[in-house]
Parts: sequence; structure tokens; C-alpha cells
Amino acid sequence: MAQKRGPQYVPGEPEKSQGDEQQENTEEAFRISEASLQTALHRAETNYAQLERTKSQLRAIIDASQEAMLFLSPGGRPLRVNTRFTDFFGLDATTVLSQSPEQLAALLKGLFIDAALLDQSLPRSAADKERIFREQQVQVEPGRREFDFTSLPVMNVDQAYIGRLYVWHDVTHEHEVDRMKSEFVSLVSHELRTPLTSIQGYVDLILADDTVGNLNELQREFLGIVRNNSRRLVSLINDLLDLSRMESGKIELHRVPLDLNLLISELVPSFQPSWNASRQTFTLHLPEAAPIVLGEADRVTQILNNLLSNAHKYTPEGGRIDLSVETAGYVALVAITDSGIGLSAEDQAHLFTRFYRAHNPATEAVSGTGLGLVITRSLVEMQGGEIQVSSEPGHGSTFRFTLPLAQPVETPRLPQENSPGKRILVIDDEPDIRRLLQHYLEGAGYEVIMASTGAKAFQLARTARPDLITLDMLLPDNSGLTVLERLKSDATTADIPVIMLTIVDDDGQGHLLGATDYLDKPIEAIDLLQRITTIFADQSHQCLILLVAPDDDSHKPLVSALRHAGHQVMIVPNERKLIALAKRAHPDLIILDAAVSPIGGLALLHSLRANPATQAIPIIITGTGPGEAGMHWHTLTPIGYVDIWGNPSHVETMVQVITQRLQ
Amino acid sequence: MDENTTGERKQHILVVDDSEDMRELLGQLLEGAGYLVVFAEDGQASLTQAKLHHPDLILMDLSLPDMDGWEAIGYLRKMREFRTTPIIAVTAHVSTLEVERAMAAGCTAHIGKPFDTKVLLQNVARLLPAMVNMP
Repeated sequence: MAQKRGPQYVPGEPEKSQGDEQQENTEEAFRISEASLQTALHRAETNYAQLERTKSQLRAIIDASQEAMLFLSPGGRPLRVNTRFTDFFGLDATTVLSQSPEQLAALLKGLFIDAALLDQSLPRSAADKERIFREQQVQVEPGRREFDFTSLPVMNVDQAYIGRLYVWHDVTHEHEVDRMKSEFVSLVSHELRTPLTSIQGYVDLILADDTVGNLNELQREFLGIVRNNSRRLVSLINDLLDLSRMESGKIELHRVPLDLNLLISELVPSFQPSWNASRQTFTLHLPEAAPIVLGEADRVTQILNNLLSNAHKYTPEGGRIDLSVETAGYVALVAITDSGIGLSAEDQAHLFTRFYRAHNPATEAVSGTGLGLVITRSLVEMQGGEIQVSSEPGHGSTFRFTLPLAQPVETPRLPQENSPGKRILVIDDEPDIRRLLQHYLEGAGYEVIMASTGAKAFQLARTARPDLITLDMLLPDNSGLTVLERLKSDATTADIPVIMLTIVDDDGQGHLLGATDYLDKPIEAIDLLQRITTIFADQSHQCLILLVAPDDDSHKPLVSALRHAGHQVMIVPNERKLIALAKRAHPDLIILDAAVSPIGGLALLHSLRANPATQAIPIIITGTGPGEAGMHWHTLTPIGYVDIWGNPSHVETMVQVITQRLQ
Repeated sequence: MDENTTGERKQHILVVDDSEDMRELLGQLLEGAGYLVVFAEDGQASLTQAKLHHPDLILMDLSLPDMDGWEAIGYLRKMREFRTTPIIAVTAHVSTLEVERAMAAGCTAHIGKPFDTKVLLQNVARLLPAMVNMP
């Protein structure tokens, strides 16, 4: 402050002659300081006004944003919301800013039906200085909106963490447009099919001779062209429909174990005529042991079909086409190689893009829509595989794709070696199924006894004391579950492991009643034998792992690998069952897939920790990137021993670590 | 009934489709293959025609005016005499979901439009009950 001197000036004891001078000096000094005070004040006012302007400008900008925003202090306290937030959620700023973090979380949560990130994690995620969380949220109160939600840390100029920003981007309209687009495609497809049916049908009718009179050669040729082109149109429509369904996530796959060798051997003959016509040589290399992959037969065939027909189309007369299959670890690898025109690096980069067709004079001659490979890639990825291309212009191309194996290649161990003379009781009312199971089991060296009704089964189980029972869920006299309950409540039979064979979803009841394992019908021999082997192997060193996972095949590799490593694994369909089962079965480890319930994850952990019977069980959370579901080390450490693993694709490593920890 | 001189009764097929082109096409195809064909152009008419002619097999389009194919199949299946009559849905609804819906309504088979005429005839022949030979 330049004026400092002024007020500090204290007049001494002045002589008269000097007095006037001094007074003048003083007045002068006051004048100067007053002037500078004025200037400073003015400057401060200007600065302040400018600051206010900037501030209100910033506020106006934030308010003008299309996105709702909420800014939280590092402790999770709400510091600021914008107008859009008030509009969207019907909460005024004063109300929001007066809430505690927990109250605010509860308040917001009530507005959404689908918002895992808002659940309890407000203060916790606010403490996170690094991560960005995203999810799709659906608001239901006061109106329905769909959001892309982002939560991100905010740093000041010195890179210090000053809080967390929650941003809701309204995508209701985009989603609506998406829905309209796929409805449109499906409507158009339907409308196009109807006239095409007439075109194709009548042409077929004319070509099928006698009924409509004879055709000359030229007429026949021209109608042939009409027919081929209408077929092309149909396949284009099919491709478009497929693509649109895939994009809107409407295709649901029913993945089952498939014999890849068989699938390929069935498909290949349909190409033989085309190869013969173009004098192309086809070679097939299939492994001796048929790889059993997880997939949907029609879709796997569609992938092979697309790649083989491309290979045929882009390979000149007299060329070569090879198809080979091998297994590596947890995947089957299929490679289709041709000696065709090949692809430039640029073409390879765009190959899996919609409507992209390689720029090459040779491709002009070949019909295609530019959708086939896009669809192929989606189909591969939907089934848990990957696809790649390698090629050199003029020297042909190789397309490689993988599909997950239903079980790792090293398994199953041969039952004869470690379980000689074990006796298995098969309970099923269908004679065909009994015979089939008998065939499988005797082939693997087990002794098989059979029962067709619940009552008979129970009697046999008591007298013949089998080492294992396979039990059909649907029996005429007793439901399978009743039989199971009886077996498990009788001391002489309670310890016999039971595998439930089922086409009915009993919502995990069987597990609660004590079934050791489940198998879905239709039963695959290899699957059945492997589970039996594992159960017998487990009896020597029991380490029980509960896996809470969605009811699909995504965990099969992990489960079979864990079983292979000698652990007993029980799959629990939902968390409600988990708590009951964890109390009863005293597992050594719980693996929780966040996909089952990203919301309940934390609540579930808390309730496990709150119960003396379950509080010490180690827990591994998978299926989520660290922190993605609002769960990460910081928040979980107080809960006790918890690990978070991302996508459990490295099954081998996972099993290794689990095995080490359990020892 | 339409018996020929050898005493063999021609098998009756009911074709239900609202498009005249389609009825004509299917009629030509099936008559060419030696069947006797009767037609209906909507769901309601299909019930009347079925009761009148007792077809051995029904080809049913699903999108129909007034009463649609799903509904008509539902009614047919509730009638004792048509409980086991083969019904083939011949429809431009081709997604897996639609196929399942058709089967759930009571269809015996599903053929997507546009169809391969050969495949259609094969399916008809496969599903028709064995020829009734009159002594």
C-alpha cells in the first residue's frame, strides 16, 4: 500500500516558523495519500467489478451448458450446481447445497432406476483424485431421461485436487433416434421382402419349365440374371438387418459347446461346386482332437461361410484356399488363407468398416456389399473371440479368428486313472437319456446303476451306496428337488455328491439344498465327465470357492480352470443366495463378478463382513476395471481382504494367484 | 370329395395371404405339384375356409388385415379338428424372435419370405400327413 506513510505521520513539536511549513507538508502528504487512496480504491473497484463480471460470465456459461453439472468438494460436500441440473432433476440449488453427501446421494438415487455410480459412492468417489467414471443412467423422476453420466476429478492450475465434477449428458434423443433407426430398418426389410418374394417366386416358376411353357436359351439366361440379382438383394437386406440388430444389441446368442471340426466338415461340401467351377484347390487341416468351442452354431457357421466365400470370390481361377484349425490355451484358432488378390495396408485398416470395399480393379468385378466383414467381426466378438487379417497385395490374405474353448485343452483327466471302480447312480425317467448317460459313464470306466423314479432312486442310494448321483430335475413321481432334499436329509446318503441335470431354471435352489453341480441338458459327454472327475478329485483336498456370476458362459473358462487346479467351485446365481450359502458352506474364497450386481456389490460386501460366520472370507471382485463401479482399494480396504481384478481374461494367472493364496 | 379315378383323394392345402400375387404364386406352385389349393385373404376368412375344406396343411402369412395370422393360428389350434394340422408360417418376419413367436403361436414350421420355391415344396411334402389311400 503506497499510502502507508500518510496515516503514520505524527506531527512533532513544531517551531512556529517551521510549523506552517510542516502543516503544509502534512496537508500535502494527506492530499497525495488521499489521491492515491482514491486511485487504489478505484482500481480495486474496477478489479472487483471485472472479477464479478468474469464470475457471472463463467456461471452463465456453466448454466448455459446442455449438461447438468454438480461439483463436489473432496469430502463429497455439494459446492455448486448449474441451472440445467435444477431443470433436469427438479432440485433447487439451495436444497442441493444444504445436503450432506449421504443425503444428496440418497436424494439423487431416488430419481434414477439405473445408476450404480450414485449408490453410496458419492463421498467415496469424491475422494478419488484420479479416476474418471462413466455409466449410462436412466432417470425416472420427475421425468424420464437417459444420460451418459461422467464423474471426473477437477484440478486447479497448480494441479491440486479441488473436487469432483458430476456431469449428466442427456442422450434421450439420441437413443430414441437409434431405436427409430432400427425399427425403420426392420420395417423396410419386411416391406422389401414382400415384393421380392413375388419377383423371385415367379421367376422360379417360369424357370421351372412345363407349367408356363418352354423358354429359349436367351430367355433362360436373362431370367437367370434376374434371379441371381434378386438373391443378392435378399442377402443385402439380411446383412443390413443383422447389422442393425447387432448395433442395437438385439442379437442374443445362445452359446453352447460346439464341435468345431464337425461344423466345418458339414459346411465345406456346400462350397465344393464353386471351387470346382473355378478350379480352386481347397485344403483342410483339422486337429485330431476336435476342439469344443463355446458359440452358437448358426453364427459360427455364418462366420466361416463369410470368410470362405470371400476367399473364393477374391481368389483367381486355379488358386489355393486353406482352412486350418488349431487350439492354443483357451482358444481355438481358425485360419483361412487364400492365394488371391490380397489387400494393401490401407485396405486392411478399413476392411472392417461398413460399406468399405477394397480399392482394387479386381474387386470391382466381384459382387459384394461391404457389410460381410463388419458382420463377421461383430459375430466373432460377440462370441468372445477376435479376428485379424494379414495380407500382401498380390500374394493372398489370411483371416484368423479365435473362439473360446468350452474347456482348456489339457483337461479332462482320465477318470480311469484316478477313480477306479467308482459307482454312479443315474436317476432319470427318460430311458433314452439313461442309456446315453450309461454309455458315457461306462465308457469312462465307471460302474453305473440306474433308477427311473424318485422312490426307487432313494432306495438304491441307501443300499448300493454310489459314489456319485446324477439327478434329473423333472421326475414323474417326485420333483428332482424333492429327491435331492430327501437324499441330503438322510445320514446314509447326505455325503454323496449330486449333479443336477436340468432344463429348468430352479433359481439356484438345488445348490442351496446341497447339489454339488449343475449340468444343462442337452448333456455333453466331455462336460459331464470332467465335472465328475473334478468332484472326485476335490474329495481329496477340498477348497471351496463360491463364484457369484451371471447365468451365462462367460465364466466357463475360469470355472473349468479352477476345477482343473483342484478347487471345488460352486456357481451362485445371485447375491441373495450367496449370503445364505456363504454362511452354510464356509467357502475358502468368494469371487464376485461385478456384472451380477454392480449396485449391490458394496452392500453385499458389507453384509458379508457384518456376519461373524462370513467376515473373514477373502473376496475377489472381477469383471470391472478398478474403480469402474465406484469400488476400489480406498473404499474397500476398511472392509477387509478384498482384491479387485479387471476383466478376468487371463484365466491362467488368475487361477495361479488364487491357488497360491488358498494354500 | 375331389376323388380322382384311382380313388386317391388329392391333398388340400389352404393358402392364407393378403397379397393376390402371393396367392397366385403359391397356387401355381402347389397345383403344379399336384395339390388342391384353396385360398383365404385374411385371418377371419382362413377360419371359414378351414372349416369348409378341412385342409391337410395350411400355409399362413402372419401380417394380415383384420385378424392377423398369429391370432388365426390361435383359434385354429383351439379347435379339435385343427389341433394337429401342419401350419407353415410363410412370412417376411424373419428374425429369430419372430420365428419363435410364430412357433409359440402354434406353427409347425416357419419359412421366411422370399422363399426358395424348392424348399417350400419340400417342406410341404415333408409335413403333409401320408396320403390316404381309399380302398
